[in-house]
Amino acid sequence: MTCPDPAGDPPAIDPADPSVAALAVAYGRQVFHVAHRLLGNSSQAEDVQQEVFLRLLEKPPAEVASWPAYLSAMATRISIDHLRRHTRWRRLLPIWVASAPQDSDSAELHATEAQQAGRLRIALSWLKPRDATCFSLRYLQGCEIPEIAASLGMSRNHVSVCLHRAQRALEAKLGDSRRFKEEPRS
Amino acid sequence: MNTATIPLSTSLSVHVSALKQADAGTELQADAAQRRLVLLLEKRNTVDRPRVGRGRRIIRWATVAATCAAVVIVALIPVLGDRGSTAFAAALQRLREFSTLSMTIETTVEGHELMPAEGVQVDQAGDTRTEIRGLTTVIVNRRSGQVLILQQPTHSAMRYSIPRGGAADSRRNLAWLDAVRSFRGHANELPGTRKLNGVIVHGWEMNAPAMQIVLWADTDGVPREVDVTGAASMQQHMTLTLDAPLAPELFSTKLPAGYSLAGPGSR
Repeated sequence: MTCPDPAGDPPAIDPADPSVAALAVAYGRQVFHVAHRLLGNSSQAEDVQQEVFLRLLEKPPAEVASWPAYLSAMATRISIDHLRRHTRWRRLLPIWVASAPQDSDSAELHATEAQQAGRLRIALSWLKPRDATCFSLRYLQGCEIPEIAASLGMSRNHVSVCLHRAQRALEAKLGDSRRFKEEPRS
Repeated sequence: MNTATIPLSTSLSVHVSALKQADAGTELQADAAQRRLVLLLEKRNTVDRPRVGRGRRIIRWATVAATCAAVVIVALIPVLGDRGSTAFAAALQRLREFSTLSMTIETTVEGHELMPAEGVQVDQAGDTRTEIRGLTTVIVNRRSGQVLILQQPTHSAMRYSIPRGGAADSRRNLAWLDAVRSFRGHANELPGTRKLNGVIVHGWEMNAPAMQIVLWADTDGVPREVDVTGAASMQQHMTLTLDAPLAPELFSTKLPAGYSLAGPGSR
């Protein structure tokens, strides 16, 4: 299975000469959804979306086997960075928590499902970035292990180890709410 | 090793499903973001422009800038014309070499205030002090490797070590400065002039990664104001003062009198 596009099938692009503009048209929405799923916030997801394509402009990759997988991995990595940064600061600055973007947080306060999503986001932000990225690609984006390995430049065994480690850590954290008060791993 | 994945526990599966569901119903936001992305890419010059790492220290910029200043000035003269180009190049040089920077920041979205006005002070070592309209003060002291947060209404404080990778959010208000310092593209001089506190200023527009910057400087090349337009129509208006003396105590992470430590740094 290929990393799916949550918004549906993207238009075809010329694989021999994929301009950034064409990639943005084809996969921009996919990148937004990947980021939004992890961040739960439209403004931050848009920041990630723009950062992904601006990075492509500035430093085009030499060879990409699968653009959807590559862009999903890139968006996931950047989103995890955002998540870690925001979680850390919002925990330390109560006033900023009050003024933080509300388009998902207000729902999180009232809906059990959204609360669970918020808890998983916080737990992900505490994992090692690589473990969190592998987990997100596998279980949130539906990428297969070979795709994750290729897009992150890792061996398949290494991906499996990261996934296993992430699962154990997440199960431990989500099963014990007291752990949410602990320091995140740096 | 077997690369098959282990099934998720019931609890973790529920959380994963919940997170996937939370993304539903965002098509309108995705469409809007997509339109802005396409516009952004259309506007951008496809010439590669270098980015500056967030954690790079100001003093290092100053050293590099001193070496490059002459080259920059010479390179910009044919692009910008005579007097204006000299003022712009001088303004860039001042922003690369300042000893202290004080600025007030107003952040708006479509004309509405997004957050209270902030006052930011930066010294040559890259230490920063951010004040949010008498509510919160955040001091990032790179030399001591510490961050001190003062909650003014409650007189409580938190102190902790700068996280690995840097205190990224302390650089949030300085992203424009990183962009200006590394700017090597073509700046468009805006038509006409403005008068700020009786001083005539010229404006130059620069397209930087993820933001559009307008730098206002007087004819002597002293930067006076900066307007930054970022993602989601967010605008920042900054008033700048360069090289004004700043007391070292401003960047101290020592607990001020009347404050008590709470949280991680209280032990």
